[in-house]
Amino acid sequence: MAGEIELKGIRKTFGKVEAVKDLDLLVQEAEFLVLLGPSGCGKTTTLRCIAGLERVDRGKVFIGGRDVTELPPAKRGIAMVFQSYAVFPHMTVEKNIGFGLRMRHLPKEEIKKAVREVAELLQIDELLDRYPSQLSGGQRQRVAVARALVMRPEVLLMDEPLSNLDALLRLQMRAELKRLHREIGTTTVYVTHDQIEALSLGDRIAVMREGEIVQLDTPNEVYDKPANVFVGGFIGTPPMNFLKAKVLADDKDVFLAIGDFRLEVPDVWKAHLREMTDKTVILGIRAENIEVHPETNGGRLPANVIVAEPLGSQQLLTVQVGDDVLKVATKPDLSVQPGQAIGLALVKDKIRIFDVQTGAAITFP
Amino acid sequence: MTSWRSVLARIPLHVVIIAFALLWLLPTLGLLVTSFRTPSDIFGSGWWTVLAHPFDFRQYTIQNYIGVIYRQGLGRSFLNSLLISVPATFLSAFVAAFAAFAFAWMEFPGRRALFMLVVALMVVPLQMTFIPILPIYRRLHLSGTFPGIWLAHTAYGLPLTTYLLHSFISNLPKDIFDSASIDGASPLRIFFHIVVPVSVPALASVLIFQFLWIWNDLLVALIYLGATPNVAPVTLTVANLVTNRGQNWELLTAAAFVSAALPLVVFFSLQRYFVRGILAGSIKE
Repeated sequence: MAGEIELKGIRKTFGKVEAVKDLDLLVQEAEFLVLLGPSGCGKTTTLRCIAGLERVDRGKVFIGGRDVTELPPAKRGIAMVFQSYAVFPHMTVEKNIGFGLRMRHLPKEEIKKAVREVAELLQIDELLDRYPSQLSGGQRQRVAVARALVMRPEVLLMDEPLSNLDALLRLQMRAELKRLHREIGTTTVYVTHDQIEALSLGDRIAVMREGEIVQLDTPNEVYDKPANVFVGGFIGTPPMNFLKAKVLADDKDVFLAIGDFRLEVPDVWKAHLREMTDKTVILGIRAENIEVHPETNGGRLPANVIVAEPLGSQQLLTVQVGDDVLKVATKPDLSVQPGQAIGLALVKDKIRIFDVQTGAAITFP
Repeated sequence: MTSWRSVLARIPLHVVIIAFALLWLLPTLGLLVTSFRTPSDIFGSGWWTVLAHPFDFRQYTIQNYIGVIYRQGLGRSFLNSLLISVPATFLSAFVAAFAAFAFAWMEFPGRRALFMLVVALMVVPLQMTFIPILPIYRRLHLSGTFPGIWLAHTAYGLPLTTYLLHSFISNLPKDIFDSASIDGASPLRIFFHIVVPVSVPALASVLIFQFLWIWNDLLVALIYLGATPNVAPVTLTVANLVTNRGQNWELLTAAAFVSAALPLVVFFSLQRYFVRGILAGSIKE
């Protein structure tokens, strides 16, 4: 209960722009929740509303069961890590980390002890006498995290904390943040536009678009079962493939037609799909759920290779199917040439279908 | 190879810079030498004649300096100038820093309009303000007092100093303020613990600016303080030397050096901050 966050119908507008639209969200105690979305989707505004750095126009914010809607940031029991680190350039690392505790007028000895503890946790206890300008980007980031953790917040908020780091460091810090969260178990809300970060860190991911949460699920669910075309297209490298397909039915069977090719569907879908006969749908499938066969005959979707990119652990093919272009992941040693005709087999259980108009996933109970 | 070429490429630039420096230094040197010569020497020959044997110290005298500092009251004026400049400089920088912080980071209704008004006040010629302000000063018995001129200089300086500091302070990263307010720092604490320490270059440049302006001011001092010797600043005393003693300008040269000495010391000791501060806000770091 202590670190639980509940947002009830919060709305925030800037002039005429609706940054957050009547958003509801429940973050469990000790959960690591990631707000993921493209820039301008309202994820940072949502975070700042939780922090109290923005006043909500409407709705309520609860932290640990307490209504904090009208409270200033310092009274909400939160701490925040910023993208730009927000460390104070004129203070040593020790002074930086202890700043919040000094503002609370804690005894000097207690501050010193708390600062040392958290510095050891983040492995920056050797750097306490340095100034931020004498630190590397990764070390500054650790100071920023230490500044937040030393306050022992009920809730830890992070706004794209890794996006200013270079790729290798980002990888390291990502694992480090995951370790920290496991050790201290503070409820964490983490904002990012990087879907890999989201998948690797989150207990759950809230995918946001235009001020709304479009899907709230575990990383695997979000990846395998996107709630709509937007989520499928936003998450995953490469993103999910989409093809136009038509529902066809005869006396015996129901299937999806891609051009002249007839694709089998899972048995449980058939009864439901029959009711949609002759409707066009969008078929979604991930690159790794398509198998490539060198021969084009016998129940395979015919395709032409446009580009083959070796990526080390796998090979990424760009192929043409009718009017659509698909990405297909294959084993690195499969030998194909641009222009070559190949046959594709789609893994039946991994197919998703979406409504053409709304883009929403069509699911069958 | 390349380093040689870059050195060669810079030669014309250096020639121009040195030429300008000489152009500036020559009259200053002449003034300095003249101020140490006796009146008969000054009127008998040009100052450059000492260059024939510059280390013959018998040809120099400090009588001119003794004359202006003791007999002409420049010593007292120097003290007056300090009593005017130092408090007025700090007062205006202090108020401007508060105002700049509020305009940049505190939200209140009419913030933008008020800031525009302050900036717009920079174009008001100060001569226009004398007539409305002087009666108020007389009623409050501020005319001819040091607090009176402190207030006047502070008020005249505020539009520019506020604007300069605002351009620096408003460019500080927003996250720093958000972070401090999450930590529970009040605006006043944020101002003293964060804004002031990180704005040192901008504050230094504003202090120099204000100090030089107030030290060299004649008009405001004449209007609000009057020309009585016990309050007159250096500028007024030097001006009186010109009118009363047009003929003995050996005194004038010494007076000129006395009045220029302190600004030069201030400027050279803080010039690093000065250049940095003036450029503050014009480029993103």
